[in-house]
Amino acid sequence: MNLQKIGVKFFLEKGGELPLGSFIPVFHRWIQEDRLEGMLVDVTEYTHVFQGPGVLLIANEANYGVDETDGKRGFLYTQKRTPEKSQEDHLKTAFRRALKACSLLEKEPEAAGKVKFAVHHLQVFVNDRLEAPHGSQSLGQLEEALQPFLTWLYGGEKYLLLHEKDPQRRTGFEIKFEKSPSMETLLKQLGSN
Amino acid sequence: MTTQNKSWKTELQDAMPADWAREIDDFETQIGLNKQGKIEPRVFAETRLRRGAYGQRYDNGHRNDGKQIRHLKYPNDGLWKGPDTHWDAPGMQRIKFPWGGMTADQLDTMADLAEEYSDGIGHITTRQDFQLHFIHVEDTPDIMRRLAAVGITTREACGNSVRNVTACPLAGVCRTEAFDVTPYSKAIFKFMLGHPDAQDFGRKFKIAFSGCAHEACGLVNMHDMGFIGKKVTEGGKEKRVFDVYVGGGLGPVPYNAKLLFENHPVEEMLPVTQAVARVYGRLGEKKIRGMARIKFLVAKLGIEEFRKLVVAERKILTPDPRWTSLIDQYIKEEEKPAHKAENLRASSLPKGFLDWKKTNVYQQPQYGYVSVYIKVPLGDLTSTQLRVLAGMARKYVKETVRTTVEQNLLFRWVSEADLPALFQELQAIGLSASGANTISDITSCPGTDTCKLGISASRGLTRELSGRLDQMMADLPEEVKNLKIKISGCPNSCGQHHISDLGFYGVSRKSGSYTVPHFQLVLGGQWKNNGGAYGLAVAAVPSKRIPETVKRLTDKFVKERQKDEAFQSFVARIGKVEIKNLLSDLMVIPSHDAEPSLFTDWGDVREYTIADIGKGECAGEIVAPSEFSLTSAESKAFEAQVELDKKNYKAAVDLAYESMIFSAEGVVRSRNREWVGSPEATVAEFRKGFFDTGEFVKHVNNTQFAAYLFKAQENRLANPNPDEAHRRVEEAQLFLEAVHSYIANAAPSPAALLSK
Ligand code: SF4
Repeated sequence: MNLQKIGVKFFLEKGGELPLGSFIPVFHRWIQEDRLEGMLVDVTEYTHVFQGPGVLLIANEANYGVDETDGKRGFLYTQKRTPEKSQEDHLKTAFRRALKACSLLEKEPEAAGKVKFAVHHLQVFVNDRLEAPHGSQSLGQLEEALQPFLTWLYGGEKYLLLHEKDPQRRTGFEIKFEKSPSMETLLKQLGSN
Repeated sequence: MTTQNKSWKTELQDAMPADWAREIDDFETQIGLNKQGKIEPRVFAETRLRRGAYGQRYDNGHRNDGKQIRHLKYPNDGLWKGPDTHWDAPGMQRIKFPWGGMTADQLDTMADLAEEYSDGIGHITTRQDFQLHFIHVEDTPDIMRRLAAVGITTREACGNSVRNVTACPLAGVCRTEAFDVTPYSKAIFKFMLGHPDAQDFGRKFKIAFSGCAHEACGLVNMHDMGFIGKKVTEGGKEKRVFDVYVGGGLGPVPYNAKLLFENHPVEEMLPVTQAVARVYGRLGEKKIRGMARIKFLVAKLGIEEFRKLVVAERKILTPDPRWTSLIDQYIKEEEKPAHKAENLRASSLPKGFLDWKKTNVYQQPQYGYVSVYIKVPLGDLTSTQLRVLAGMARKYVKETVRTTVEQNLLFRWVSEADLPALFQELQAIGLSASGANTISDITSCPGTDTCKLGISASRGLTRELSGRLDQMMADLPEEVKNLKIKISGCPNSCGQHHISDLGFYGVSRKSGSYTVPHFQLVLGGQWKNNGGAYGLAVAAVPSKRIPETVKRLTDKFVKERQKDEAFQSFVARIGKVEIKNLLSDLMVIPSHDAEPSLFTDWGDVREYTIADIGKGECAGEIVAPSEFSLTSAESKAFEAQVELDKKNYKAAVDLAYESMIFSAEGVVRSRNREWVGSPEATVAEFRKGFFDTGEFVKHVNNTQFAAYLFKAQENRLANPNPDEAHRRVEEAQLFLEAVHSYIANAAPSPAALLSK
């Protein structure tokens, strides 16, 4: 299976009521200070859109964003192209980048004490309908790829996989862990600090 | 999930016409060749533009991050997809929807593409197109294949070609149209797409259709070529004809289209278009981009001469059977409703339904059917919304969906009885807002969000204004509700600011060492009558004070309006001097410390700049001599407008000339603070020191603005007609704006000048 374009979204535990616009200055600062991996280009916002992509930080190979799809706010990292220079497992890259951004965001002055991500509650999908057309075969293959990775990352904690049922949407799962290591532990496991 | 060598090319090769597949394959080959350095970036740029793959802001590798201008290190540094356009920089894909028609499968495809390649948003433009932003050029062939598989070609979506053919979204279901112009717009799109006579234009060519002269839907007056449907009676028989217009256009200086042929037989529509294309291709300007639209050719030759050339060209055309067969073919394609006509049942209507129905539902002449406007904020739809809309298009109508030039969607042929259910489904996806086509339904171009030429945040301002107006909607007087606001991020008028009641376009102003985002207020435009009159700039106001500007103007309108007076007439009656006085305090820029928010734009926290100007310690107190010249230029430009309003055309033209001379003096004084000279000497100095050296053009990115000055110097217009006077006044204003940009971008700071 060729998992080249992965999307990972960590849902919010706290901070759903913060105005979306609060994240705009944070993303601009991240560009100024080169805070994230990858080549950061611009900030774009859709605060006027209902349950949309919210506020995005556009990078060369991916979009980072505070996303509100389906009315569930979370931090979404969506690969659009294969990350440059990276030969590593794409799942590992996507998780590391998404979690790193979540951890940074929780500490930003606009969000500190107000925003907390639920690292035990996430969504993973393949942003590529050619590689992963919706159906049981793709779902099976994605599950097969996710299982060892999640076991490795979350230290064998139990989880529940809920597959995306809408055939028009991208192949993916909502994942709920019963218990989860802390964000710091996960980042350490992914080789990030 | 995957097999090796799987590609959209192989998956979809049988899903589209063979010639479309071949064209996309060729384009992909050209992408490869460009990457290998075998095609010049300049040539590749025109190739990709003709396929709708556009550049986007920051693709030159420079971005103001709020503290400094950063060099964006795109991965393939040194590889270009056009002059000064980085290969890896995100770009925009424009997708044509001729006459705005969309099917459910097309809506679904837009949803998928927005998610996979863009930022999750499909954006409706002011010409019934869609756009996807932040696209990588290497993804464009697959995007094109997936579009082609649902019947969409992006061929000639951009570049010097026949662009999207637009038409009234209500065509065929309109109560006042002469006849349905849809089949004709379909025929012209099909006929002109890739037509050999339309491949050698110096600039783009836009065609529009309208079913009547009095409404605005088709906006024929502002198009390169346009057709207004009429019915005439000949020998006791009713006949369909078109009034054919040519040479209209917005852009920085708008031109009214001229009547080329009156009561022209519909069967002659395609040959006459072909003849116009050939005349334009042969005689239109090719070298100076800013003078290459057909409007300049028509103005230069005069409509009579242009008509003679078209008539002569028409005579020598080789007859083409498609001239009539295409029309015959499309006339047979009749739209049908999905459900039978049933009246609305008044019991248990959902909350908010009646308000929504009042503004968003249009009663069709076909008994029991209505058309529903879906108000789309800033023209942006999420993938989820697009998919739900596709489902609704299958469920409630036979996929009879159209985009509108006001960046909304229209569902046609809805059975009235279905309205409550349809409203509730729209509510579930956040698209049930009332107020379609009212003051809160603002049209806006992309502006500084994504456009390379944007000066001010037109979308940011639109978001702010619409939000405020939506809140106040219930309390707004009817005469205010019906006004139109249209906003462009720069004078290029993609937001169609010239033809609204309250138009705005982005400009900047220098204040000490800071640059402040502004919008020019444009008044006097008319939306009705196919965009029947163009407004003129009245005053430049800081961006953050535009909401207050709108409030003051609308309050005054409500208070002082004479019975049934239209806003345009009200503005003409009270005059621009009074309006400018009303806003004069808003135009004053305070110090940065007193009101720092004024120095950022809407929706953007970065300190505004159009260059990397540092703040000198005492620069704030120094007034450069060039600023005095620009102040004089501003007043002369304004006085010119006042004379124009009074129909004193000669006085208006003379004042416009004086304004241009002051503007040029401002440029000269930016380097030589002591400069004093006659108008002739000032123009010569400007030409020698700033134009011929390329210095001025480099900083304003356009040769056209300086050309306005030279033209005015060469031809002072002894007996100007109203059109000429209007244009000259507009040109003076634009030259002044260009000088403001030049001063902000390039001129040494006042402190630096003093220390010299
Ligand atoms: S009006 Fe100006 S800013 Fe707006 S899209 Fe056109 S060129 Fe860009």
